[in-house]
Amino acid sequence: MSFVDAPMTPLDEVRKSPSRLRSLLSFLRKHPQAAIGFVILMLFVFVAIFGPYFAPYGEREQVGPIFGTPSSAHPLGLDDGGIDILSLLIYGARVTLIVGFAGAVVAMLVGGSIGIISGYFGGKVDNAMMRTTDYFLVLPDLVLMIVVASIWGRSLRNIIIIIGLIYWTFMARLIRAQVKVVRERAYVKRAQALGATHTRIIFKHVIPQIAPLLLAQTVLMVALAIFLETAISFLGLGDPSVASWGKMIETAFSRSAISYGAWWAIAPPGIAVALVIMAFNMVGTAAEDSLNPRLRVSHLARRHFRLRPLPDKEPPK
Amino acid sequence: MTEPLLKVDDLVVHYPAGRKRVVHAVDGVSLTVAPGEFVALVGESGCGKTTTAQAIMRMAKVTAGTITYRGRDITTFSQRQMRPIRHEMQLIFQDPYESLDPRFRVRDTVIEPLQIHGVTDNREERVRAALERAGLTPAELYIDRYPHELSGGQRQRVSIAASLVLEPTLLLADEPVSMLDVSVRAGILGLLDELRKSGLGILMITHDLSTAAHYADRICVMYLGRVVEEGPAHEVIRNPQHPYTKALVSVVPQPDPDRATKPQILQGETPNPVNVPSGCRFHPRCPVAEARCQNEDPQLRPVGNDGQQAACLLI
Amino acid sequence: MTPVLAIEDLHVWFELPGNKELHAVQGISFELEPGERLGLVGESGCGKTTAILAMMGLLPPTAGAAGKIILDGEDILGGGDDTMRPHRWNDISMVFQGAMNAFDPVKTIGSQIQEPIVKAKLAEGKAARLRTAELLELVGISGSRQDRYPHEFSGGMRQRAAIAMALACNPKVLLADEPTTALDVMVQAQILELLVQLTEDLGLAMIMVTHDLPLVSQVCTRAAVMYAGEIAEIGTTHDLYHEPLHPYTRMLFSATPDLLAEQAVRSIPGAPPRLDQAIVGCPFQPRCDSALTVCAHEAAPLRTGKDGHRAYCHLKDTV
Repeated sequence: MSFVDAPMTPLDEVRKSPSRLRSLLSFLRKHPQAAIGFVILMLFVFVAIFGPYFAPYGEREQVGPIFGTPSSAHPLGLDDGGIDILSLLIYGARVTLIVGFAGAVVAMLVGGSIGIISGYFGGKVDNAMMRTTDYFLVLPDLVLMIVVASIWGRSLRNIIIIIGLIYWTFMARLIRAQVKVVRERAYVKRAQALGATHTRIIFKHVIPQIAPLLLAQTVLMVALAIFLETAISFLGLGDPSVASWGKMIETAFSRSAISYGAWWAIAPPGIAVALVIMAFNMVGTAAEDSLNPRLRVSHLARRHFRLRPLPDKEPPK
Repeated sequence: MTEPLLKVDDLVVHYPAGRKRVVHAVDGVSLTVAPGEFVALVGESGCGKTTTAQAIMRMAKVTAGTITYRGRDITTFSQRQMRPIRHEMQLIFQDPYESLDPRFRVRDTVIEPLQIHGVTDNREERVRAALERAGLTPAELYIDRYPHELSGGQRQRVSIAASLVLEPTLLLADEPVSMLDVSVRAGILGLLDELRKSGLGILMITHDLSTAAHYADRICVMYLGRVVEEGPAHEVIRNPQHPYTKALVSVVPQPDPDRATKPQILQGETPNPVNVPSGCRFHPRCPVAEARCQNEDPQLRPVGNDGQQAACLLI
Repeated sequence: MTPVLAIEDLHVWFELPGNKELHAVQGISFELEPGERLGLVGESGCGKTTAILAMMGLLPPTAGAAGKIILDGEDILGGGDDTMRPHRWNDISMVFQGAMNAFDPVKTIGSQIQEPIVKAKLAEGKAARLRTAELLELVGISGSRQDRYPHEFSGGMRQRAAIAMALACNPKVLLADEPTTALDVMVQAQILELLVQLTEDLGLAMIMVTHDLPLVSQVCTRAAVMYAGEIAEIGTTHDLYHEPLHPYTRMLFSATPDLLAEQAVRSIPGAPPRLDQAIVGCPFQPRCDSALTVCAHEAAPLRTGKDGHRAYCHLKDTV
């Protein structure tokens, strides 16, 4: 005699479970800042991709005097070379965002791999990798940036490498912690008991579990990467041939924009960087909040339940 | 007498615990499981029953002793050598809520063992057959579900199906029902009982003496890394010989409130396996300990009737 | 004797997303005498933990409650949190499920037990320490250990400390939610012996919530069996075992392996009903082995036995 429990929900109700779109919409409703952040981001991404096609002026096109004041033709004024700042901003968006993404992806790939291997295998491997991570963590970022830039030259590729070098350690530690948790779960031990290879377990069980959080943290990392890129360029260690926002600020400073009173050469790129970082942060933290249940603290709120009147007794049928 | 499926001889599993201290998780355990036999390994936390199961599955390092599976000594088998054995020896976990990957559908969980062991023919058939053998009929109703859509009892059946799909000969079940509701437990245990009748050997780890009494053919009682008593379930429960078994049986709550029990409540708790008492390891808590119990370490000897054994100096 | 606690038609609802609600407790009523040990038995989802959380007023903002919780003659539910708070811990306290794992690891056990004492202004400073030592001795822990940290205590001792904390302000009623679930059978016996002794020595009334029927038979004098948010049957543990009025009680006992008896163990097929939808008729009917046709349509009426033994069932004969 075989015995059957009744299913928890009837099959037809299961098929009607909320579609991806509905879950996304309910997520946005619970985290309005994510929606705002997302909109801002999409704006910048749009500008980065399509901007150069409708930027009013060229990247190196001198259209007026040095540090020309903002006017109707040039709403953000002109920089030290007489180039329209609004156009520069648009071109710069592409560079900044690409470098930010690429740097974060490098950090995620390197840090993620090390974190997974470290967290999964534990023991001596873990120790060795964490000691290496510690060394990198302790290296002063500024010194590292200067050394890399001086030895390998100033280029976009090197900026991306620097960002990866500096940030992979954070990723590695975060991922390692999560992998350690997943590794102890019963279904992973079951797979081991079955004789599954490590590769199989990592790719089929561990990575799918940490992927969402990994993605959320990569988004947050992009914000950091953009900030770092701006800093690198501002210090003059960036690629001199490419106009990123950091470069714009650096140029403005080195060409004495301040003594000219040309705030419009400094403020727009600075505000743009701040906005993008803030937007990434809003989306990233909202994603992290919803994916990591331990971050939820609303259940610690005061206990104010509602009093209701007694329901009417069921009339006998 | 048929050759036992599993024979464990003087198994010892010690873990280092920093600075010359050793955790005596398992300190000399012997047991056998024959085909079609249901053996319960009973004890409180810290007695080493889970470590014993892990050692048998070769998921824990064996310090000494031998584990023989179907006549072959697997004690020092490497992971590669264990692969074909793992085909036949399956483990069912305690927690139905954590033992299924939440991202895998039921089909994916049950088919995984086949994928790992390279069984390619009739996979879908085998999955259905395993689900139905585990009581999930009709299989179509369950095969595409995610674990969160199933109840605890159903999830445990999926775990069992995943264990059955490779047609094992030996099942190790670690507290298979302790996290399930009472009304559901009998169904799962009944399923294990049927599997036993169809020839599987079952080694069940549990702290629940009542469950062991009802379903097991034989019970091994463990305390601090040793088997202190073992024998036919009926005898161990009704004629316990070892003082620890006697105390354990006496404190199990009875459903009939009028059945007066004289609970023999031992004081204190099981000592830390790092500090195993000298002589008989139970002597500090034993209600009838004598002076010599501090010095001599008793071994399992036949007592009572019917193949019962106990490790006590005073019997 | 006037009951120290009387629950009258208690309802609890939880808001669910999508404008639905879960009717977790559907009108339970019972009385608790001083010094009595009452068992509240049921499986997961039956509403027993929600019921006692309601008695403590520890329901979340998504909850709604109705009915009366009469403590020493006063309806403390009536004013919401304002009427519940003064009594919380002072007159009615709770040992939570998993309480032994709920201690703050960076504070000593003693300081955590002192918290409710100081907060209720019963004592402070040295007097509070003295009182804490007394409480620990009461539960079988040496008073000098109050300056130790939770990790230095074993599971069983932490559970005792949790009980000591619940007794800090001399309550009249103690609610224990699965007090021995994660403990070994020997430690369980110790804790149960302690609880029995405390109720007898202090005149404390206790409600013990558990899914373990034999435990209730051993420790409690009366028990209420809950199913789908309602009390299916309530009576002395003797009557529940020997003369149950509700099939669920009988089937629950049959599903519990008994160490010595030889009867077959039978599981109960099916699953409890959903509580976010209205239930027509008796909630247990789909799983009941003695269901009549009327059970699916009409709510179960009251059946009474002797001495306050009652159940809600259509059947007329003993089950």
